[in-house]
Amino acid sequence: MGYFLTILSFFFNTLIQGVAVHLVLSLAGIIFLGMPTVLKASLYALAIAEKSGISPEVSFFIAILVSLLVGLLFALLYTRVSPDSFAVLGMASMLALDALVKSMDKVTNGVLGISGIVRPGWMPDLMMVGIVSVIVGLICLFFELILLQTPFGRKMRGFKEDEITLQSMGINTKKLSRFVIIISSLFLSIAGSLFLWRIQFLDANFGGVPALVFLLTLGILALKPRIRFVVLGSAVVTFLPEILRFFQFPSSLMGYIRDLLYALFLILLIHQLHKHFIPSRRTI
Amino acid sequence: MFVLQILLTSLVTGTQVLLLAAGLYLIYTVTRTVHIALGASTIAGGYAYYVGFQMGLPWYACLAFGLAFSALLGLLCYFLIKPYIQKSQVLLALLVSIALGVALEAALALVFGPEGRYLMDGVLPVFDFWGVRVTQVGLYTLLVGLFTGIIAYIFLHVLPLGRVVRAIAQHPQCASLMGIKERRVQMVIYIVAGVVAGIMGILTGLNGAITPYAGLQPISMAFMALLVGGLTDFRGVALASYLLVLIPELIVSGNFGEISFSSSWKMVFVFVISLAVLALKPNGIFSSVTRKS
Amino acid sequence: MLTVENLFVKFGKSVILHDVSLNIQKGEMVGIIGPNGCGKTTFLNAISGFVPVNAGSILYNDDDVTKWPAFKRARAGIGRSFQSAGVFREMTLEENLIIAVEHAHNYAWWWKFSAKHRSIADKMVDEALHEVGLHAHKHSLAGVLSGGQLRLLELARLKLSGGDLMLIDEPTAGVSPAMRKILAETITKLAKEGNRSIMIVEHDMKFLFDLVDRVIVFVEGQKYLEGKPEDVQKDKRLQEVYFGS
Repeated sequence: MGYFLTILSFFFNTLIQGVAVHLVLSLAGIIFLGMPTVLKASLYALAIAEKSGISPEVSFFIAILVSLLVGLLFALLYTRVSPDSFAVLGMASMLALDALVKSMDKVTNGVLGISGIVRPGWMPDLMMVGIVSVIVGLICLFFELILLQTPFGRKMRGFKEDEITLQSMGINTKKLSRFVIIISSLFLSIAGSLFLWRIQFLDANFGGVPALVFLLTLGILALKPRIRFVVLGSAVVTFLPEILRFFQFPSSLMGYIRDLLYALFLILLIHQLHKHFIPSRRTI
Repeated sequence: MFVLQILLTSLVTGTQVLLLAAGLYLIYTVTRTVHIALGASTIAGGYAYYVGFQMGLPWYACLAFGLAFSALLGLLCYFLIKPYIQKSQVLLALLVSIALGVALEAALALVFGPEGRYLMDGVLPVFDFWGVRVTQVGLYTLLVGLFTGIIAYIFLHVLPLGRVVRAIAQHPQCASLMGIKERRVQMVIYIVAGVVAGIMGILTGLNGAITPYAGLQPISMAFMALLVGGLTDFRGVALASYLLVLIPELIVSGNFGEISFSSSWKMVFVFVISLAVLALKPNGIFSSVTRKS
Repeated sequence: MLTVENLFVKFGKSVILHDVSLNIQKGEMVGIIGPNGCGKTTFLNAISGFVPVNAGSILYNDDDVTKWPAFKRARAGIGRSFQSAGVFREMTLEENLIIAVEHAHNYAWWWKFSAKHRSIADKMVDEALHEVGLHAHKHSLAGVLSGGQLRLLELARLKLSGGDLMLIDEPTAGVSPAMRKILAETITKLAKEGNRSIMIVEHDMKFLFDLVDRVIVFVEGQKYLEGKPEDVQKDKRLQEVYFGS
């Protein structure tokens, strides 16, 4: 039962992250590699707030605020620098935040991470965590479904393809891009908080390149502007590491094997499916 | 003397960053792709040297093996990313490069383990120039940097091949119409960048221990140098490589009363400085406005 | 409708437009020609807001839009087409036009759930596609269209975007003679239906002279000639500009 609940929570958690990645990467075409940074900042905000004696519910709102703030900073950066620069700065921000949390050990406990994260009183066990993850996951999915049917959804898709044309139609593309990045950050924070309440421990190494590969795999699987690909992508990414259970690998190697598996899977996925996801053009 | 020591140390580290940034610059100008896996390739080159070292080979054989492995790795990276370069699918090329880097690092960790590996026995010789100290490897780094800089200048500005590279960088279709084999040039660039990265990895390993995940920080710094310098202007890249090493080094080594920063803060300062420069000059230090047709 | 006064644009040290002044009345069709590099497209970019202006002013319907960003000018009514057709190739033709409709008419985010709004939008899209002869491709991705068809789609989008001033950049570039005829008819209809003002940048003088009310010749970033098409065509200075003295 515990295993089932863990998988269920993980799947819906991944689904919420999938919605975040889908919005920013797949629909708007913004190469936002700072997603792990937003996630990590939000998790540390939640953990530090709880450790300071603030209730889990209020800590959650603090985490949301932090993610919105970090998202806003990235959003402002995006409208200022080129897309390539934004991509690389996003990656560098992961390292910068990693260095920052490991340096400020009086606040963050440094490389040891933060343990003993408390769940809200109405979420006492794994069963409730599972139920809440399912409900929140479905709400996030429904939100995106509605969003795609609105003018905003179409503008996002247009933004991915031709920002200049969108501007020539009277659409403020800077505002649009900022909004997408901030909304994506919000969803990441929600997913992160549920994740932290499930495992109740914040590893200082969380939120690095493996987390980025995980999110990017989700983004590639859901590259088309349809909800079903978000669900499919989340399912694939959730059950992919379960293959490792059939092999009796030493626990010290499992992390590396999982990283290798995800990375190779991503390369294979892109190689096999890229022709289907990106339509061919008749003219240049 | 203390300041001179910092300057010399920064010169050595900055040269390492510049070597990597040069590889990234070449790849970016010719393919418009951001090759993040070059960081992992750097470390892989170091591990290749380590394998030779463990087999008891002399240093020149280890070096040859390391460079040959790096060249092959560069070729492999090119073939994996080639389909996306051809179709200008920059996002997918970037994602494949990131995944390649992660796969390479994980594979190295599985084979060699996460602990540090040393590429030489004994203590590293240190030279003292009037109170300013530099390791033997540091001196080699400066020499390699100087040599590579001269070769790069001749390559890019004197030899026809340099014009070919610049032609492809600016208009690949036009370059093809003039009989330039774009794909061959791109392949050569990837191999050259791989070899340069391999040299960097070997020098890093000789200077201290190498670990599988040690490539991400140098490649991020090299990328920041590329961005801050201007993606298409090598003068800026060179200047930025040194400034992004020197300024954080000065801050971390400085004495600000009660406030002090440990060396783990360096990456934070690199990021903040890059952000500050890009906020003022989004296209880099030596950026220029171009006409939109 | 549009008044441009002493416009000055430069990139780095290169002066692209120098002291250009112009007036366009409502319903007027103006053509701009000139040798390559004379600043025609830069002029359109400056009016539509895609290039900053170093000096001078641009007044549109009595508003000083000189410092306005591109999207704000578009909302004010300045429409624009591009040398490489400004359409979304990874969207269907219908979707390309829907974006224009919902934005021009300020539809609320929930409009797609309203049968009434859907019916109105569908009718507008169908009419626009019929006019340009692309209705058969309504549900196809725009990326499968030919160059000429993309331009027609762009014109359809321009029409649905509303606006009183259309800036059209080299509509016949790379297009067959038969398609040029269709483009000319479409542009004329675009102008007449809404009493719109249109400014066209072109190299095909025959196409342009048959279409517009007034022609302006640019040379080296300045206005060199201006007048009715038949007058400009006969002017020896035009021949000097293109073929030398």
